[in-house]
Amino acid sequence: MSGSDEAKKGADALADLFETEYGRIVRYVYVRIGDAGAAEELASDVFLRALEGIDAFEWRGVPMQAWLFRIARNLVVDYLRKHARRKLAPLDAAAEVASPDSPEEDALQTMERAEMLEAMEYLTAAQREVVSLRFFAGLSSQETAQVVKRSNGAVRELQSAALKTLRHVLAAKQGRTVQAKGGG
Amino acid sequence: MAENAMFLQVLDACVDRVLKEGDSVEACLASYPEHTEQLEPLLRLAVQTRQTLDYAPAPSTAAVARARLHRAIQQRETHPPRGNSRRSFQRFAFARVHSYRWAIVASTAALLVLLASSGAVAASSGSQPDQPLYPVKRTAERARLALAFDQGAKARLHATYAERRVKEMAAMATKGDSRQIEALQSDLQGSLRQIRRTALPGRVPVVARPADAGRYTFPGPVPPYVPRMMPRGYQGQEARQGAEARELHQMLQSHMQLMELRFRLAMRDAPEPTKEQLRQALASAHVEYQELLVEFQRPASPERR
Repeated sequence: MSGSDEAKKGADALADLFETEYGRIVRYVYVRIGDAGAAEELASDVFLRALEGIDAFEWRGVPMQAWLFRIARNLVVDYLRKHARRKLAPLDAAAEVASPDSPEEDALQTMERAEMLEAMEYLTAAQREVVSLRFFAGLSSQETAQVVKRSNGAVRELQSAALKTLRHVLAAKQGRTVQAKGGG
Repeated sequence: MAENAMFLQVLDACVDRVLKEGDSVEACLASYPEHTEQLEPLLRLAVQTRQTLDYAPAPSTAAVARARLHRAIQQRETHPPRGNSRRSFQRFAFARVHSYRWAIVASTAALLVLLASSGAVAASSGSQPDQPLYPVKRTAERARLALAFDQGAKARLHATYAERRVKEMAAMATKGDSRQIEALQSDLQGSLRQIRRTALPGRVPVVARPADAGRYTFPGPVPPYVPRMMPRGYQGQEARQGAEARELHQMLQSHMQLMELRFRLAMRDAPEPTKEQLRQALASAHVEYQELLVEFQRPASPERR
């Protein structure tokens, strides 16, 4: 197969993957950076970046899907580095994606989202990565291992540790809320 | 296998079953009764986390990203990155620009790709009007509009940008920046006008503006979209346009409701003089959204009611 055929095959595969992966990448990026608008832009950039590097992609080795998520992961890291100082507060980030059902329901959902985004900040970077890829991008632990370049076992451990941390953090927050209500 | 490793595998399998395959937590717990006590809280938390933070991009956003990718693929096919440089040069030197529009589109695409590849667009996407990268964000918006070929795509982009202006107004309100709010309000009106021009050409507003917008309180229900009757089995361009109009109507409807929420939240933190300005801006924007929504219900014929 000639180089141009390879490139055409790669571009076609990328266009096909867009249909299944764009939404998953947006979800993954959103949970990592907490900004819905930027997540959509970054997810779009992932595919353009992949197209630029399609000639260098080898069909053997990691699957194309894992390669896309690696690109997404790198873009997220760059984004977080650049925006470290003006990261959205969890409440703003949550309000960005409020659903349009009713204002009251929206407000409640916004608060819940904000609380969860805040709890996610207690996770280590690796734990957050694994939770985002497993729960939101819907990757299996083996696919996640390929993206984060760790073993399957390590991914499972990170997943379990992340859930335990979230449980403690949320329980502590709820405890504070109950106390505050009891006190007030 | 160590007990812990076994539990990690069980948890992993259950996360897949519940989050990916749609199995219930109970069904999964029933498969591993020996781990129920440890498994249940973690599994329920996994479901809660997913449900709370799940976010799906709007179809219009995906459509813009898809078009962006397809355009880049096309561009790559016509101008491969590597090849005979002499031929590439000749092609460049002797190529004829077929029309002025194509020249604009090509240069806009180049600008967009340049901005996107430098990371400036992504970096600017969350920027606010008082930040240095904000002009990049607005330039990228104009570039995308220039690249949108059909009127439906243009209208959806204008709707997306109108929503962004609302979000920025709310952000500026919390900072008490009246000047920016005023400018953004004018931009928002511009975007809504453009939606009318692109999606509803030749129409004029039929809803009278309230004499005193200052009396405005948070609004009542939004009119539901009632599609016009189509002949049985009707297909083709008009049917497609009908679907596009329905999608745009739903988009505007949800943006209007989201606007209420954004402004409510902003109102909590805004300084007192800005609150009044924000209330007036909301009143005016609400009327304009309402007008547009009502316009979608009118028949396409030019007769006036």
